[in-house]
Amino acid sequence: MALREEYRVALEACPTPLMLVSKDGEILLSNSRLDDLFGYEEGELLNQSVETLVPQEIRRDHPDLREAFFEVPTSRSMGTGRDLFGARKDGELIPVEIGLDPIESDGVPLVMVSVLDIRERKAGEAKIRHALDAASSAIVMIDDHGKIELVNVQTGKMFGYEPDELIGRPIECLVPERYRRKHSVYRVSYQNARANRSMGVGRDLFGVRKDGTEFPVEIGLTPLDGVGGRQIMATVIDITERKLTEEAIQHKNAELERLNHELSEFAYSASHDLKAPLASMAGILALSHDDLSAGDHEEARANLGRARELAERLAGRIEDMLTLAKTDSLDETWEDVAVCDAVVEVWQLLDIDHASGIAFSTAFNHTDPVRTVAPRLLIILENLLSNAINYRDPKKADPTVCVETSDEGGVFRLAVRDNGIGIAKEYHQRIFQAFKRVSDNNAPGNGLGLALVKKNVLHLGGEIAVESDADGTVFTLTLPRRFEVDRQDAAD
Amino acid sequence: MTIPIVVVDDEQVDRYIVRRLVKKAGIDGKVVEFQAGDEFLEVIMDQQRRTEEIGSAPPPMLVLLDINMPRITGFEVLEAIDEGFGDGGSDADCMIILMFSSSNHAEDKQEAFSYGFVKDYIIKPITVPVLQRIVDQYYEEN
Repeated sequence: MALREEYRVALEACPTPLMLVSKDGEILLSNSRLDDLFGYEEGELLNQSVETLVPQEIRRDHPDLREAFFEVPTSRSMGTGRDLFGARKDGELIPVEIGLDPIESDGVPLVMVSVLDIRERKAGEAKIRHALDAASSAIVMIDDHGKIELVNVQTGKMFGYEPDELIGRPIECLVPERYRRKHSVYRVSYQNARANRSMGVGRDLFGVRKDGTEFPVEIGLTPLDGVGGRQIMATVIDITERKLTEEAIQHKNAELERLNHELSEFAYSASHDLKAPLASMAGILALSHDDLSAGDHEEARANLGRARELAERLAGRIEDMLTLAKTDSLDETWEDVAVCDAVVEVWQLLDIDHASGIAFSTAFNHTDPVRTVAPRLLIILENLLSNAINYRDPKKADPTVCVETSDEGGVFRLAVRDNGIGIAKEYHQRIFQAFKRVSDNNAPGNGLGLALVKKNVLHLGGEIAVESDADGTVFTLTLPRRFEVDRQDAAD
Repeated sequence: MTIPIVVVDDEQVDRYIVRRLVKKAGIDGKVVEFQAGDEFLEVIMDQQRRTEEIGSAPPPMLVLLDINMPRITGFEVLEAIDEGFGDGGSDADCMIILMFSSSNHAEDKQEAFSYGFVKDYIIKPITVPVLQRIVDQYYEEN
């Protein structure tokens, strides 16, 4: 017992909560730090069973574990890899770390038990854990060999894994197959360079989910040099939404650019095409004034007549401009249109008025229906066909108009071919601008038709081209079959 | 001294107005009209037809050139003149070119004056005082 007294003094001097326990679980000695930790009075634990300090649910199993220890007594930590708790007198469970050291006293095997209060450490860890899990981005820590050491909850959600499932796996399991080999090379070179930076600047990065689907990501890298090796912390952001938004914005920007361009064209057109008749009118009215002052009533009447014609022309142009402007706000209902029928119907309506004597033929080689905005397609057909009629060549005995269609590589093509007067090459650009007429003023038309065609074609995502020579003119309309779908995808 | 006044304009009314105002202002001028830029170019490129239809130099012809015309625009006429007479040849001296447009657009004026030989930019409708000023300005020495 003298030895025990020595132990008592030594235990009391030690800053760690300690106790000495016998093979059958009796507490032979405890220091006051241990008593404090478990909420007992000094000496109150003496001769009590050590199981008193073990949580209720494992109290029954503890004696077996204790016996196992005494069979092969070695210094070790208790319950490696498990969270241990001690039961205080008041029932509170406190997280602890326990060290076991076998000693012998007078030939009797005993164990010296050191108990570390790890409440603060656990609280700190929980705080970090909460912070990691609260982050909206996925946070992954890998070791020197690219094995995943730690992930937050968001990582599991983003990549479709249970969080624990990822621990110990190579980081490459989150990288799409086709980049894996390169990725491991990049990773090694990063592990040597070690600097805070974004991954893959200028490249599009992708992550792969457990189910094999991919998504665009942005990744930040931070090297961690500390206790336990050289880790790398990667922060992963799923940028699917952002990419879609970017695409939508690009789409809108292109649209805005087009509208802006149209607006400046409109301003130009207003200063030329609207102001011109007005200026002429002002001039001719001033002359009429002179004529009236001079008593030349006949000249005055003629000039007033000219002024009225100009006013009518101006009104017509304003009407045309409004028609053109209205084209932008046409109902955008996409529907299946039987183009064969539409072409024939449009021709018949035009034919009643002024196409008599023109041989009309069709060569339909496409698959109906065509998904499009019907009113726009009709405007295009009406204008192309009526142009073919209006600009027929009076010198040719057999005026013809032919509509040919085809489908090629997801594109619907419709050509209107005539043997009319033709359009000189230098005007091929200009004819699609509003009020830009290339024929003399006595030919029918107001310079609006092809501008309307162009505008509607653009709205349908298509293109219009012209070829012309002495034999006649071909206007070719091409419409992408998938335009509506692609547009919808971009908008979603 | 009769001044050859050339109006290149597709708008018949505008040509008529110039003709009337020349008369009203009492200017001794011979008004020659072209309803299209290419027709005008054809004539001035052909020395003989120019002499017959417009008159021989001196005095230089006063050209009122519209911008917005079908087929070729006033600017394209300027381009053709620039190419044809651009080497500083004496032919450029036989013309006083004034743009003649309803457009007050800065871009239009800028483009017009980018051709060094364009002397003025007249905004329609033209009036007697403007016509008078032009004639005084460009012909007082003659």
